[in-house]
Amino acid sequence: MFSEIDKSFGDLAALTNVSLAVKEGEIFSLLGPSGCGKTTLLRLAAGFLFPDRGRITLGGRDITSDPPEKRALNTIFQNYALFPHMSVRQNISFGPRTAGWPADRIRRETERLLALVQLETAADKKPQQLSGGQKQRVALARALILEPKVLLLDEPFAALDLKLRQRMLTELERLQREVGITFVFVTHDQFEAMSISDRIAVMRGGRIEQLGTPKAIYETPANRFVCSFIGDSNLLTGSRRGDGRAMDVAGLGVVVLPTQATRDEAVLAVRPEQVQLSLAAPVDGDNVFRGCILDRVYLGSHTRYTVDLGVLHLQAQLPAGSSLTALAVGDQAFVHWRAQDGTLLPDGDGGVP
Amino acid sequence: MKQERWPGLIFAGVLLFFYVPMVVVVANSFNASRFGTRWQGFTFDWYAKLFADRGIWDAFVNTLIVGGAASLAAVVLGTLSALCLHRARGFLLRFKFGLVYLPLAVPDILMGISLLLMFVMVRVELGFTTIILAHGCFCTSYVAMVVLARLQDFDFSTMEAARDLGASPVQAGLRVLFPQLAPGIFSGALLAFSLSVDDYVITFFVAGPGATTLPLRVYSMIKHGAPPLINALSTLILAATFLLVGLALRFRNKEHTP
Repeated sequence: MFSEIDKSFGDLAALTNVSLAVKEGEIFSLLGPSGCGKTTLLRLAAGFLFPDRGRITLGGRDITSDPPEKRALNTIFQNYALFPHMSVRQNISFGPRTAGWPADRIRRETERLLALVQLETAADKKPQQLSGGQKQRVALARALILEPKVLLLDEPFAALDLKLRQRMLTELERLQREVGITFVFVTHDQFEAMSISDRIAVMRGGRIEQLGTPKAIYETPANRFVCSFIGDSNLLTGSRRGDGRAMDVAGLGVVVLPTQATRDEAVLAVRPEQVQLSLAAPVDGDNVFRGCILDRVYLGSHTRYTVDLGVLHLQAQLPAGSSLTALAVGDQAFVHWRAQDGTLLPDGDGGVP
Repeated sequence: MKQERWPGLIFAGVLLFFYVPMVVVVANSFNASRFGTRWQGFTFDWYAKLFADRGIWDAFVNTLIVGGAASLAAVVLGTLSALCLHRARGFLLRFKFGLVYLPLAVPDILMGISLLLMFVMVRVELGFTTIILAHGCFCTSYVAMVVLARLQDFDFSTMEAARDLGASPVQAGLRVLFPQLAPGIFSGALLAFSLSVDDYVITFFVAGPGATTLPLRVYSMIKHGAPPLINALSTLILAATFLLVGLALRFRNKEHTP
């Protein structure tokens, strides 16, 4: 869909050589901190911005220089951008009316979309009389009525509270299955992206750091940035030892790696839920270290421990009901994890941010 | 609860201050006395004379034409300049309100003199055209100010939404921008018209022979001593104004209670 896109605003390079192909019918997320270029990419797709270099294609057709009104994709804006002077029904029928559909088709389709987003009873209200969730559904219906090939969603849940956000997320997923349209999502919320997407592109500083399924991105992050942006991680830095299957961590000792390190500097990521705690030294185990419980945070479904290993702190997470949840701050304990549970980050820092 | 009476009393006093002069004018327009110091019986004479006075009617028609033309020009120019100023960046951004407010703050007499000097310099013959130009000039500021205020609240992402939904830039402007600005443009036009209709100072400088507006005419009538006619005229104008304001209020109330 995008190939070799460059875009800068003045001296600021917003996107550098971004190439990206979204598959038909998938939910694709652009995830990253603010200023990473995800919104710029979306606005390029919508046609509100034009790239300095590169091409944008939609279903094999080059749309790089088409104005927004010529593109077969529609947008859900962050603030919904509903027309305040029109009723819900008029908002939804705006696209068809502009396109000059016959009156009875406009009426039929508008009613169908009103039913789809369950707003039949609010059809004659003005946007300012609606709740946040209702506004969003109007925006959705208004964008879907033209049956776009792709629906672009710019942080569509940013203005909603948590409960409503979760409900809309489920609703959106259901809707996407019903209409079968490709969704391209922009978000800075990793949970949103993880829970809804088929694939995610993690972005930083105008580049794509990693592209893959939520599972792949969580379990095999490409670099330190992706690893710490998606979920929590213990990051251990050391120097390669011998054949590369282990590394020396200063002050800690030898850490066995899951795969062979290829560079002198190695970075290992271990998720807190993969770190085990025990009172006695485990009989076997690749990476066993003795430490002292520094902090304990009860989080309902699990408990998070911070263990002081002398030179560094390690996060460990135990599920509720674990026999070890009686561990208190100050207790001595052993931490250990299986070598294959760690992830050797192939790409270090992932370049300059 | 003694304190609570004060605001009411003060408000009543203000209302008296506002409306007593008007009541005097209206009463005197039906007063048979020529000088209005004493009541000498009820009469419609002044109205009859007023309707017979060709000079006044010519001036009245002139005023309407000037007001209409000037506010039309002001609406077009004011709206366009508000749109441009709203997009202004850098230097213009810092001064956009100044640029619009300045002509409003400049004393009328200065506006009048400078307009007169300019017309003389470029050798435009003083008359109808110069009055319309002068009125259009100061009215543009008012329209621009009102529309600019309206634009501050305008969400430009709705324009993008319109484009996204298939509208060309012109269609988006007509169907999304214009309807949302319309109340501002409309009230700007009303303001411009009412300012144009009662302007005396600027008109005095730029008017030429044969082009007399109502305020100029009224002033010269007072100088030549015909107050009862003016009372009658004022009463009619008052009635028309109240009617218009009443309509405007009703229109607004309807809009606010869907």
